[in-house]
Amino acid sequence: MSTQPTPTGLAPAPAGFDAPTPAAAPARRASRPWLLRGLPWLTTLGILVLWELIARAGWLPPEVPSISAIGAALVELAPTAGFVHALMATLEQVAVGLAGGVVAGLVLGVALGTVPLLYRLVHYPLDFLRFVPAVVFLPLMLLLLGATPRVSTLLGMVGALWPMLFQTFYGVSGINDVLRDSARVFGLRAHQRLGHVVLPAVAPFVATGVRLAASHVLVVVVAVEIIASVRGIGADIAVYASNAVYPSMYALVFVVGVLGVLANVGLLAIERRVLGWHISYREEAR
Amino acid sequence: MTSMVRPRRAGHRFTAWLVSLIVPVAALLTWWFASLGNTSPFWPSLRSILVSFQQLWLFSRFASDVLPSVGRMLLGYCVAVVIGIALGVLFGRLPLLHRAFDPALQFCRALPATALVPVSIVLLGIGDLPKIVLTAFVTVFPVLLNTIDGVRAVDRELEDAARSYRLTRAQRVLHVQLPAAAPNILAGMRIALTVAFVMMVVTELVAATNGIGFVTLQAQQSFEVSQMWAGMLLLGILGVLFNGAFVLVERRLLRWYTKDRES
Repeated sequence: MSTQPTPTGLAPAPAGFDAPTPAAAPARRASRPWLLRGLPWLTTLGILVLWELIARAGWLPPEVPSISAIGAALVELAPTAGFVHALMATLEQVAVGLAGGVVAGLVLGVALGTVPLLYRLVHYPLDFLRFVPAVVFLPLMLLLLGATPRVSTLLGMVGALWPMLFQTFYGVSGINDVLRDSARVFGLRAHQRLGHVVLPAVAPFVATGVRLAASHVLVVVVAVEIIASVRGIGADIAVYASNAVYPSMYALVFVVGVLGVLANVGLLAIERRVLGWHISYREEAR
Repeated sequence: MTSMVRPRRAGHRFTAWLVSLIVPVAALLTWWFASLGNTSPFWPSLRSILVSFQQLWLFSRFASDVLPSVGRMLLGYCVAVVIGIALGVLFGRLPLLHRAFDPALQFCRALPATALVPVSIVLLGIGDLPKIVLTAFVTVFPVLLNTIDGVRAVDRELEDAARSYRLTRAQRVLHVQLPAAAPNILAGMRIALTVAFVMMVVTELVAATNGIGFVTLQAQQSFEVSQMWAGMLLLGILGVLFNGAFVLVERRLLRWYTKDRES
């Protein structure tokens, strides 16, 4: 299955915005780079200002506070112990879930990629399980463990496992035969082959897997916190929502969004730095 | 992946298929027999799970819960696909516009979708509409961003050729840009489908009056454990079915592309 061309991790690098396009006049854009560079910030600021003005004018429903009210709520919330505890709880659940899922996915992915018989034996069950979202298991987990952080951590692991496993598997099974054979000819031992051939070759796939896994874990952990009131930011969002403290609710949604952006951007930056030597990233840098 | 299954004689392929069946069949048989005399309240026998599955989902709850769940999900998904492709073409053709809204798009994409469930309940209540709107809002971003990438990556020469044949703007979009971007768009739609499915389950677990997720959580809370298992089983089967259906459609739509690649 999966003949689709994309989720390989070696997705084509987005062309730079400075690349000349037929739609816009490149010469004029090049002469005013500051405008181009500032544009994303300007529009973002514009959206926020527009939101503020519409809210001040009273055109928004009462459930949508103004940006300034949300900002004030955030400033007020940030130093409180409750917020810090919730943030720490969420971060801990995300971190443990991600770490567990990544390690398990890596081990299983390498095993399945290097032992074809193993893949053949288990690929039907795996193909079934990978399309079952982790939150589906929530009722069972609540029954077995109750509403504890362990539930969100475990389900986070499940959420992280599949992207990690399949990315690693694609990477390992896609290793060039010549590469594999020459390593064998040079008499590299199994653990040397693993360390010097397999892992470097699959590193970009693994990096993509970690990035996908991180966003999956965040979605699952926040969902479990909201549904089962497991301590964390998600539970606080739900509490503020049901008590009609809307500025604080939006402030926390914003915080969760920032976590998502940080997971994405941060992991991508680490990836570029660590894998700068790799061909796919070198081409990107050109 | 395809490289693993080398073309072989039919007999070998059949043996390979049999080997693939060993583990799933063994697992199901083990589950069936090991749980047969089970008295633990948490792990009902597979037999009783299947009985509840048949009683609960095959027809008694089908119209009241399965159809609404699936309908809401598909409606939100379709709205998102249409909007995502339309906006994606627009943004893809106008790099300046894309650049202007990129931070906002990236934020919305990275925001864990589940955090918006309480917000949608606050704004729109707990009926069908908030679930559809939320699903559409959340699933639009994978489609949109992939369409932008696909449209931006359309071959310059293709574009020039279309221009020199004096195709109108609408013709160029419909007959050149969209087909060229189709592999990207379909990849985005596939991600969007799984997101839509997750949103279907989560919105029903948080606040709903019907739906598969709702019934499953109710079953858990009232200790109808075999019904809960049956609900989870149904959700699992639906997840696989949706994906399978999508793969078939994708293969059909991209036949020209994969054929081209293979030759």
